[in-house]
Amino acid sequence: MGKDKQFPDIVAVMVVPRSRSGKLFRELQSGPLPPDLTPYQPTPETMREVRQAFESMGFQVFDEPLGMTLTIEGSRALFASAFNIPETDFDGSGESPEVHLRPPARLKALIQSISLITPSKPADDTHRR
Amino acid sequence: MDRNRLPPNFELRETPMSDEHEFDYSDSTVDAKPDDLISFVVRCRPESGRNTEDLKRPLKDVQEVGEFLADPATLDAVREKLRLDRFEVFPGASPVVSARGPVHLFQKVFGELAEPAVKRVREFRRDHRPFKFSCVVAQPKPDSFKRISPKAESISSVDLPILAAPRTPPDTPGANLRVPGDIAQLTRAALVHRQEVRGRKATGAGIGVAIIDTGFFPHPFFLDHGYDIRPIAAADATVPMSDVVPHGTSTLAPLLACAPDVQVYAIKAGRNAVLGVVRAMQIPEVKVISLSLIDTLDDGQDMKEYLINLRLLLLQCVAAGITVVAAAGNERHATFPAVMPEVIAVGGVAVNEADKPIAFEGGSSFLSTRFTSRANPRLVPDLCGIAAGMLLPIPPVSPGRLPDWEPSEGTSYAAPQIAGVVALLLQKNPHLAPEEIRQILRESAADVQSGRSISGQPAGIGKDKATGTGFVDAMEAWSKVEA
Repeated sequence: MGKDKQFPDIVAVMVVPRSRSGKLFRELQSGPLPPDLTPYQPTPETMREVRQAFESMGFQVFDEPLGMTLTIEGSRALFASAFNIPETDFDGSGESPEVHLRPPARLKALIQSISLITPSKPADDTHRR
Repeated sequence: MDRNRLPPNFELRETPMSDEHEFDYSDSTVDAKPDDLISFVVRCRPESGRNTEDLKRPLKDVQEVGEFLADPATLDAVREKLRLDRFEVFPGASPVVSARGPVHLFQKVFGELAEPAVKRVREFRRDHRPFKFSCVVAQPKPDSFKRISPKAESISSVDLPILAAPRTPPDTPGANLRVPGDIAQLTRAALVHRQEVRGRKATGAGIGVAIIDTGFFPHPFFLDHGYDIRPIAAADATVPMSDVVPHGTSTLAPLLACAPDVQVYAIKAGRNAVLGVVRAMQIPEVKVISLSLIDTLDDGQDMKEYLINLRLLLLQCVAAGITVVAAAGNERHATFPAVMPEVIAVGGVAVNEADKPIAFEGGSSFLSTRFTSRANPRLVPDLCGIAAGMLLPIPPVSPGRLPDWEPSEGTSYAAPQIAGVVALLLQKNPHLAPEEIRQILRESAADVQSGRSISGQPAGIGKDKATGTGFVDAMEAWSKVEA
């Protein structure tokens, strides 16, 4: 299993809480940006509930200023236990198959999607030639 | 571990350290044990009678140094005396004699110490493994040196070294471009540096540039040049001066070659680059963001959700007037964030023996309609910086090694050059919008007419798919900006 050199034991995922309008975050992956992002944002209550749930599980939770997503980080072991999948699935190197994470049952109604974050790679040819 | 690169009189060993420590370096002092080794030097009186204290002041002439050399017979006598006292004496033609021995022997020979022997310990962490330098220092009483020789002038213990590397790039075959000079000359940023803006040199002063990368080791090259580098960790990162990959350390040098007086906010990214951008956005001084961290993103490929997030944030940056510069990558694929039409996508050139730029054979180039229309596809790169043949500073590559230099290539090192040039333009006119800057850079670039990108697209006369509008011309771009 090829561990990530820089962050060998930490796993990061992005959590997208359900939006207030039902609009999907993935709609923003192409095309021009809508002038108003509010419909894509969850309500503050949803955001708070999701944040607290992951914090109570022991994850470190990070906000972003657009208020649409949360980044949660923790050890492989913590993720494996919280999401009930093998620890080895969290390679994190970007070479492993896509990991499918399902929200914990009690958070299903609050979460659109959860996806593994693989760190962006340096645009550096030095070590690859 | 290569112990040969350490001075012979310093210990280096792994030591247990708890995970709570989150520092690159930490110095501490403990009492020395009698068997600990102490290294010291004995300085001898010059044959000419000159006072060696004069060496602390400027010399009138370099030849004057001969007046400070001790008589070889005196040096030999000192060495012999130290050997007889059972010290280990190091060879070398020098006005001082270097030796070492255990602390108890040092005290026995030189008598009661003015300050007791202590062990200075410097700990550092690399690749999650802790290491320790240690060194014993002591202050003998005045005149204790006379026990060695009547011609001895002083004795002093040797303190911990500051980790050092060659302070200028060494002569390395195949990597003939050095920082800062060669990069500044070839990008024509050096010409801009000789201009003035509102009474100040046009070197980027007053402009904040955030570079988001893998960490930034305090290489002596940066320290010697007095660059204004402010290492910062993103929310999900720690120890910004640790660069394990390594990568970020090297990206600083091309940036500072082009804009030596910018304030660099060197933001170490954690797993999620989004949080690095968030950190940059929190710094009001940041007017330019340089990103050499990429993801592949071909048309039709599903976009990872955190990249959607990154796109939104970068758009927010551009909307706030921050110019975003992104490496095009070294892939046969389309890359993000260079694919965004709102950022300046930087490809690469190599420079031949005649200083002529040719398309860098490892640089990405591609067309994308992901964020544009089919009628008007996004061409990456917009323009190019130097991406090959550079010798760049790197952190220690393994525990116990010194920071060093490495032949480096990739558009990772081209993008920061453009970020530096952007800073020069913004110093001249702080009101330039990101899109205006992109246009100025594209229009002023020097045409590149030969070579191919990694995907085989050729450079040719005029705008082409391999190099965009060509190789950055900082002076031409700067001249187009109204102050």
